[in-house]
Amino acid sequence: MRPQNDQQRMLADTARQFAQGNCTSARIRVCRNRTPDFDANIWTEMAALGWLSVLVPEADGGLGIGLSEMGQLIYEWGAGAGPEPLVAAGVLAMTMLVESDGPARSKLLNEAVNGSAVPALAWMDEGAQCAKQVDGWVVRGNARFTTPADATDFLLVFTQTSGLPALQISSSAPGLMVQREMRCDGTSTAWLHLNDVAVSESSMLGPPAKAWAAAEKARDFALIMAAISMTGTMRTINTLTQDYLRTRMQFGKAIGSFQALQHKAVDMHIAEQMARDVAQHACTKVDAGCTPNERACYASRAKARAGDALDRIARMAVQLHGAIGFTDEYDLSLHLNRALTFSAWLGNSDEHVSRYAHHAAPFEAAQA
Amino acid sequence: MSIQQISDWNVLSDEVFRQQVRSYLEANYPHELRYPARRLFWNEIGFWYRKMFEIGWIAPAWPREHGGMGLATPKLLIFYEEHERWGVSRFADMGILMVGPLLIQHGTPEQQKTWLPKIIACEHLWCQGYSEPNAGSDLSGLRTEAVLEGDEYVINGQKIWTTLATDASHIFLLARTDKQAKKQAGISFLLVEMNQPGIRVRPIKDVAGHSELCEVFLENVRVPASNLVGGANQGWGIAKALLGFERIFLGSPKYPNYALGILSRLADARGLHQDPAFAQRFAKLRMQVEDHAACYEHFIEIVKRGEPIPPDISMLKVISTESFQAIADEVIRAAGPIAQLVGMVKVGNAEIDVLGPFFRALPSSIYGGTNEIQRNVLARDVLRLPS
Repeated sequence: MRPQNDQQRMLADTARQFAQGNCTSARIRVCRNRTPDFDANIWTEMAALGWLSVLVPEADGGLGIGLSEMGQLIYEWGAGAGPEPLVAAGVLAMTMLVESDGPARSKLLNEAVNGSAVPALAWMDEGAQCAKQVDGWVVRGNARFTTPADATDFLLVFTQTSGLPALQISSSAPGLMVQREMRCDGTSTAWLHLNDVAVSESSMLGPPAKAWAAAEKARDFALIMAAISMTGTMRTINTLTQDYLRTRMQFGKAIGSFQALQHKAVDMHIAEQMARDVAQHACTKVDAGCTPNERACYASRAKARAGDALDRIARMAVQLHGAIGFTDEYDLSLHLNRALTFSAWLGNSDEHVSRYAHHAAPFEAAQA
Repeated sequence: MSIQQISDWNVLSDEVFRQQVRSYLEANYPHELRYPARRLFWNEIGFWYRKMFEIGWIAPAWPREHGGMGLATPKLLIFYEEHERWGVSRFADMGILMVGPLLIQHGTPEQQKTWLPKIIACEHLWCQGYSEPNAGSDLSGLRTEAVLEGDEYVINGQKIWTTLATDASHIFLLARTDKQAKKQAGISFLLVEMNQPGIRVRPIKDVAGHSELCEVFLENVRVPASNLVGGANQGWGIAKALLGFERIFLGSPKYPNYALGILSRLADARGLHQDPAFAQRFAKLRMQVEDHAACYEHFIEIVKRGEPIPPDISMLKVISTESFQAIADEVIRAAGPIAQLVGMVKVGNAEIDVLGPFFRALPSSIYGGTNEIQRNVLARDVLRLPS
């Protein structure tokens, strides 16, 4: 992320320092395949630094600034490969809360901002049922790929056509089974199985009309921030690779002097720059205000571009390293696995090309 | 439509200025000459640039005292953007783009007085004599020689890939004036009239059947020593310094965008937009063009702020040409059997030059510094990889 003003520069500097101090290879490796899959103390510190309140309106005790600012933090955190769920909880679920207007909003938003609650948005599968009762609802159904798996609260969103409200449930709600699935980067995702979970009126986040629009905004924000995080991963991978090309000697020369390898490194660099420009462009445009369709296009473009670029960069990086790049011990492994995770999460490049096509204005009209 | 005479274009707001340029082009530039499939010759496009001279728009970047519009950078960008948008054809414009700015920077007052008014009035049309048969990517290996005899240079050698040399009345060239000096150090910049004995121009027919590119043979060509610009053996430095921010136009999304427009028309004509596989490929290319534009915008902002262009600029040319080629390839793919037909052909109810984008895109990764050279530059100057 290129900071565009002093505030963004300051955020970027702080974030870089914090990420460098806390994203050590040793700590990331300790968190891998563990429950919880991130460090609660660091999450609390992030909350104290105000990282979780960037996108929260001032009226709710937040900073009320935009994606361009949040992006500075996410970029550095992505570059560090920290396992804390800054995009999943800090953007996706947080934006869902901000955009909600039901009785459950205020308390949970407050707790999410100060770090005492960690929310996760859960998109319920097609066919999930939510039966109205006198004093609330009873929910039955599943939601896969819900992150963070170690959330304290889940924000249930039903399909667009369901006409159902968005609801909050606690991770300890009776009838909820949380099945953890391991992701290749060492974090987990939750497969929620709800077997007649009772939800009270006071746990309503938003009425049907509001719920889907809120979730779509949250999705778009998360897509753009995931793309930014991925460009952070690209930066780290490219830096690692270029350093390696400068220092690895074969045939009596640094291998970075070989044109075949130079051109691959250059293509990785170009892919990174372009992905970053596109993601940053999305931040600027969305911050400036746009229609939901335009927002979806910016977001899907950013995620598709980041997915394609990172896929290529990560694979090429292993090739340019040779065998050492295939080992777990060498830190490229952390970023490669993170690349795989983020590429697939929230929709891969192909899926976002389709989503873009769905939301884009007719081509000829857009050209005029 | 008439155009108001303005003493300083820069006092207009950007929007008013853009609107004036746009409406003039839309009202006056012939529709059939928009986005031509090849570079146009003077007998096809000359009338337009004479008109540009008459209304004072021929040299947007030159200072006013030399007959230019004196546009500040942001206005200049708008001027070019609007020309790109409308697909206005270039001509043998090296006098306006290269010779003029070079003389304004490095020429003597006499040289400026001699040459600039003729360039502005399109009395002299210039071509650029840089490449040689054995000096392409390695331009500084050029061997055309200029030997000082009294107050004349005698030039012998050969230039190649000279665009529109058949239209040009003059050629500016890089020639070796010191054979002992190291490659770049012994090169000078000379202005040469083409209508004289010893100069022979041979057009080269290209794979598309066009003949815009030429060979220029120089045999004992004599030019006055006063035609030397910027001092003997200084040619390399001044030619390189001349590569101003206009370089970024080599990386503009104009051609990819234009090719995408053709692809869309073709798809309409063949009913392909309903084919989900095609729709997916089209959406991806459309995103590519929009993403390229976002990347381009970043460099435009740098130019607007008046900052030096970073060496990263080389990547724009790679992105632009490769996406142009990818879209042109998709046009061929989407055309099916129609792609074997040359020129404007019937596609459904439309008339489309299906191979046009392909033939325009094909050499774009070669001229203006091959994409491989661009990657070498990026590896050396941006990534700082060892040599």
